[in-house]
Amino acid sequence: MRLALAAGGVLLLALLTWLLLRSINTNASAYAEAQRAFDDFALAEASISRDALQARAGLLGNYDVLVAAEEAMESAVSKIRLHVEAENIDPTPVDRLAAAVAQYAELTERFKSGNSLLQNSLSYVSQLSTDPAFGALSDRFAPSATALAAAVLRLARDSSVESASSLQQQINRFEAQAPIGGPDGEAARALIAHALLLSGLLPDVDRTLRALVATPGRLPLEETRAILAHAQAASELTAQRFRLLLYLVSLVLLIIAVRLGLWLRARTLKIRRLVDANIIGIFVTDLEGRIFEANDAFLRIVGYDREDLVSGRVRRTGLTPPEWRERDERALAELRSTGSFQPVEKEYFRKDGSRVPVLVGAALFKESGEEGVAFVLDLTERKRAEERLRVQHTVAQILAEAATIEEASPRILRAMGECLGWDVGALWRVDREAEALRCVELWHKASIEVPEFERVSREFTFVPGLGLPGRVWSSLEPDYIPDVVPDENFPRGSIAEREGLHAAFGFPILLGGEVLGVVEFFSREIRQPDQELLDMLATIGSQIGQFIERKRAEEAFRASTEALRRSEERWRTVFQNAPVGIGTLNLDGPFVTANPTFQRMLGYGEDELRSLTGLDITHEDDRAATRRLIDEMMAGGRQSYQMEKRYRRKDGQVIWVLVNTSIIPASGSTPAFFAGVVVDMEERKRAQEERERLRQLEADLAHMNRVSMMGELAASLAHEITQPVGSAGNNARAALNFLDKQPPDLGEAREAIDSVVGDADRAGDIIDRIREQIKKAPPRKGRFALNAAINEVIVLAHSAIVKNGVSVETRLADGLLPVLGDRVQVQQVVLNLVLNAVEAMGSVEAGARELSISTEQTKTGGARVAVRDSGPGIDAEHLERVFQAFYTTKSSGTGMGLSICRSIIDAHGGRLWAEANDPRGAVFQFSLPGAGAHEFSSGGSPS
Amino acid sequence: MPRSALTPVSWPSYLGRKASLSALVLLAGALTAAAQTVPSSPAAEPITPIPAPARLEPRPLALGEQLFHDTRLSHDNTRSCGSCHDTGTNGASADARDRGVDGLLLPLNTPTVFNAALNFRLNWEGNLRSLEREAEEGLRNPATMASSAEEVIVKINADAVMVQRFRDAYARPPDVAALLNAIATYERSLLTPGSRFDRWLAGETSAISPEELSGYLLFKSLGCISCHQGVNIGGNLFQRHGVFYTLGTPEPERVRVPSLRNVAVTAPYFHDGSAATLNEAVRQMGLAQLDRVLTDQQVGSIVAFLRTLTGAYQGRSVMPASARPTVDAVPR
Repeated sequence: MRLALAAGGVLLLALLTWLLLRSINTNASAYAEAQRAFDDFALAEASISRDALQARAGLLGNYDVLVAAEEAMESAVSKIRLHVEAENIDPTPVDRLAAAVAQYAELTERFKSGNSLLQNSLSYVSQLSTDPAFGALSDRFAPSATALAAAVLRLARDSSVESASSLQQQINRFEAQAPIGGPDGEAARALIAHALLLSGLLPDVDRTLRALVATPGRLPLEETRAILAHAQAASELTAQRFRLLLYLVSLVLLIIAVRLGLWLRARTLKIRRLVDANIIGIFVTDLEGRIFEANDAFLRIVGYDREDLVSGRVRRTGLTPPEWRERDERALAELRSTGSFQPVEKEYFRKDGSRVPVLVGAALFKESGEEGVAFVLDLTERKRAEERLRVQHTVAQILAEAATIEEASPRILRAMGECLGWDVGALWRVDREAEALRCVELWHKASIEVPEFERVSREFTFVPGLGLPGRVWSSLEPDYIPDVVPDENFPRGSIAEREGLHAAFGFPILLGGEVLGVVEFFSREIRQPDQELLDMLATIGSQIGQFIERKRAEEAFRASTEALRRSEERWRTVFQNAPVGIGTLNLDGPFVTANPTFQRMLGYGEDELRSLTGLDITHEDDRAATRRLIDEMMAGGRQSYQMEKRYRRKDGQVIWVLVNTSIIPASGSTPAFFAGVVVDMEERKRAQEERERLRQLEADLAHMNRVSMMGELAASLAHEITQPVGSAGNNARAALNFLDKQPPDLGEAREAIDSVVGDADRAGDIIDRIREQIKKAPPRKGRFALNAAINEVIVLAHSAIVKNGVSVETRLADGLLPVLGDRVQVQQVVLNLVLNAVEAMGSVEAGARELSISTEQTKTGGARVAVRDSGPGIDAEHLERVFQAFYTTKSSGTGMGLSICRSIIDAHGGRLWAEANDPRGAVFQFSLPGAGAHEFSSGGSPS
Repeated sequence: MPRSALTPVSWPSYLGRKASLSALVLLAGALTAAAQTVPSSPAAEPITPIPAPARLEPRPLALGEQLFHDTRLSHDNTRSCGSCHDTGTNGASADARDRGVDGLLLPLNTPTVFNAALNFRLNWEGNLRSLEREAEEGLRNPATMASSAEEVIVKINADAVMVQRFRDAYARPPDVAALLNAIATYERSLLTPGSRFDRWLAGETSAISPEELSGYLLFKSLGCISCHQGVNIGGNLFQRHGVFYTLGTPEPERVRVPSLRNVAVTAPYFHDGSAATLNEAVRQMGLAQLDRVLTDQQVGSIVAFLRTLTGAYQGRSVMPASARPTVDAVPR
């Protein structure tokens, strides 16, 4: 159809062009040219006539003009011939014209040649009259010469036959009279020669001249001109006819054009309506990317206004994101080669920087080839719908495949981010204890980096109502922020701005009415809220919530099953390995289970016990009490009982046991039963008795040691007591004397009596000490000052020291912290060490006998006591042996002293050891823990 | 005899008998009467100066010059146009008759190529009207080049440089029309303006001496001027020779009147080259054509005038061919 229309149009145009060309009468200008040639010819003809006449008259001596005129005629004729041939007119008149020109040429040549000679001879004749030679001859020849000249001139004027014959007569006459020979003869001969020449030449030249002046070309010229004019008139008539035809065809064409125009206008209006209806975006562009026109729909799609369009701010290249440029180039190439390109899906940048998915197709305007029209369909809705379906589907699939929410969440974030085209996603979980949201997962597109936003998100927690996650948490609804940067309730706003994040949305992971977590997404672009997206997010949120709940239930079930299994296993282990007997019994009597300890305790196997009741194995004397307690439990009066009673073993032997029995209420499928825990009292009692006996033994040994020491010290202690007693006696007597004075000196007496009191107290003290040491009392723990205790020991040992000539040096640390322990036993240890030292030094003759007793605070808050002597010392290999029982170097002694000392110190949690003293002697040291630092163990044995 | 006897003054009878013819003659006479009374004024002389050469296409011109001196134009590659027409001297040769390729003497004297473009017909016979036809005929003539334009084209087509020159000049490969046009173009440039007489014609009255001027006046009064007139001082009409007495060989009976431009340096003279000197030629011409026995003084006076007709080609005076040997230096 289009082809036929185009062909018709071309045909019509060709017809019009043809008619136009025919109607123009193209040979008009050629005709004019020919007319000019005719004029040139006529001019040349006239020019030849004039110039020939002038030349004949002797007034024109230059034949160049004749040559030029003749050439002009030839040129004119050839032009006319060309026209005639072009017009296809009968060339006969032109041939005649050419023949006339040839005639002219011939005549002209004849005229030029003839006229030259003619002029020469005339010039000769005219010169002859002035020639001196001629003058000399004049006397004789003058009349005839003059007559000859006159005849020549007559002929020159009138070349008629009469004139010619008249000249001939004169020549003859002159010749008859002319002299022969000599100068005169020569002159006469020359004159005759010239006259003869002239007589033939003059008529001939004049004939030629007459022929020339008769314009032989005029007739053929007019003839040719007439024929040409006729032909011209004919072609003009044809042209007129064609003009009429042209007019008619034009009229037809005009009608067609008008109708076509109306039709096109209708079509254009339809297209215009399509453009203006703004159903799809339409714009007119060129290959350079300029956009000249666009409808509102297009502007709406890309977010520009008409002003932007007019000012040229909207450019195709600016609209296209970089990743689509290459695809664009391909489309342009297709456009160039085929004139259009298949619609492609791509994206455009909107004015605000966001992207809009579009379907674009374009076609070039055929006539320009550089401009075209493009159609743009906004695919946002379709894309969104697709995205949402895909997201929902993907999330559902991820949830179906994932084992845990931890495994699913990064995949969900990535899938949602990629499908929906968001750049950063974060999952927040509710921390129940902190009542805050904590970021547990953060995803971002591989192409971007948001290090600070990620770090801060992971560190930050959100309370309800704070920030996007907090808002979603409190509202239980999805939320959308077109741009977080200016948002007031968005603590991460400044970081988002720095790292180029703008739009955001968040949605809760909901289960029932409870928020389990919040998912949020961020985009680098500013995006407008999208209710459908939010609706979909709500769905996804509850989908995830349900998933979490399902996983929780699964986990809980799994965990409880495991716990049960573990508990049973643990119970079984306890049951099997417990050092106590355990058994369960049905409420109606017999055992159900009994652990190995219980079986061992009674000598029955488990199977045997299943046929026995608790009462069956109870000693006869305890059965009544037991039955009473069981009945109470059965009646619900008590849940459990505890009693010490006897069992009778299978072998008849009686054992004491402590029984704890409880009634275990029914649970689930298990009916109520009794559980009993039985402790074998026989063994326990035996061990306790043994420990008691050992302790007593140790105490007895220590006491014995003290008594023995006191015995050793008896003499010196007696002195110690005697001395204050004596002093007291003296002071008493002095007091009596003062009282006896008249008047009695009461002051002095009081003073003396005070001294008596002091002495008595001193003696009393010593006796108290001795009594303490000798007293057999159980050890007791207490806080006491170590230095004071040591000073008391020195007092006790004072006499023994002095007796052995030993000097004592005490260096007791100031401010020593109190220690915890049995004061008497510690004093016993110090006394033992002092007496050993004094005795050791007493055996040495030479050297100073120096005893040093020092205390110091240890770093741990305890105290260390050192007793040094300058005695013989102890061999290095015996340093440890001295603490063994029955080891002694002394002649007198049990060898138990140091052994008992070590037991005492060990029981205090301290340490006793011996070293060599510098420069000689031995040093015994012991440490004691500070008060409260160590629990004092009341037991004597180092366990 | 009084001078009035020779004056045609019977006006009424003259007019009465031949009204149309005589009226024109009379009118022309009246108009030029004043001029005739002052015969030495240059303004209305029957001779006109050589015009400045027309601007010619430089490439065809250069090509034509090269072709003019190219021996390949002759059949046996021995001679060029320049072999006889020595443009370095007088445009002809010093010989009375040159020899053809066949070694035989040519029938007529070689006319100079200088100012040939101003002749209305070419050659002694005046049988050719255009320089192109003349060149074509010259190539074809067995006596001169014994070749043909077609043959020359074949030869030139074998020369890549020449082919390129033709393309440059005519935008087409060499052909006969281009070949002839190039040669003719070159010949059209061979004009010799600037002769002393032309300068006198242009109004420079001191360009010629009084003796030379009187020679010119004599040249006119004797009637030489009736044939030797126009821009080329001849060359625009045919005339028979030996009107009163025989002049050289009888054939051709009628010749195109030769130009007297550079006549002083284009000896020898006449169609058969029979006059070796200009004086001799003037004397013979006076007798044969005018039936005048000129005195030595008259001959000397006319020759003095004729010497003022020597012009210059490319600023260099045309010189006699004998002044230098005819060397055909073809710029290749």
